[in-house]
Amino acid sequence: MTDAAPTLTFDTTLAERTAYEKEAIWLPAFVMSHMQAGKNLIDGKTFTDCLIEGPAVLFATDNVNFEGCNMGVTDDGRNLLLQTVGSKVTGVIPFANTRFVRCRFVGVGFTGHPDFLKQIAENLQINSGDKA
Amino acid sequence: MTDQTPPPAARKPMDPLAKTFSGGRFALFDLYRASVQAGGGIMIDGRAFTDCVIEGPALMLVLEGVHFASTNFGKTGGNMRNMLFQPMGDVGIGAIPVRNCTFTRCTFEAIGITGNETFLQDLIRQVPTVD
Repeated sequence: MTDAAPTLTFDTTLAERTAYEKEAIWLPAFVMSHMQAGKNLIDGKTFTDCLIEGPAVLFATDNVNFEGCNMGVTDDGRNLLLQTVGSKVTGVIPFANTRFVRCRFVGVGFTGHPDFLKQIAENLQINSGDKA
Repeated sequence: MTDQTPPPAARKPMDPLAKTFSGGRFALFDLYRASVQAGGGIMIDGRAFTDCVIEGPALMLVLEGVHFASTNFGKTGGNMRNMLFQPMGDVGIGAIPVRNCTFTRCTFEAIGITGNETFLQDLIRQVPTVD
């Protein structure tokens, strides 16, 4: 290991806010800011017209809604979805009571209860990056 | 948790395009983004990690040529399945793709794993859990 890589700094004020509008949200840094604030669950947020970037997998727990969102670039919406194998999860970013309004997701996968995955798979038309 | 390994050295600067990583602590998403930005491509490919602590939260998409030796996969909640995800399509969007890499005596923290069905079943069958 030689040259220095960029060192991440996390904006801890992100965790205190509940509304985000027309912002670019890099999910890994976003969740780290919450974890540093002692919040392991991202709860009670509203994102409007935001760009939500991964790589990351969003774990939808309770009451997470997507309204007019572009879920990502793929020719098959199932490519955005991952099923849990066990009864617990690790490595994903848990959300609850959150609205995403007209947001665009890039490099973000989704997981959650089988009913949530079924809803996403059946109800969203995801065609090569077109609006879902 | 699987095999126990001593904690490696603390976080220190690293070259995101290095072929070998030894004794470092870093976030997988941090390495991935730095590697992409440095021109390393959209996969973490052809790297050897030894005695590293690799942090999440992140989901690792394990592709061909990846080997784990004496790896501590982290807290499993008593069941290796709790670390695993099954892609519903052909592509695991949101996961960080890793190919032709070796992980030797590494420790994972908040890293989920995905890959093909055979690989996932091999992990369930072969990796002992202690917590």
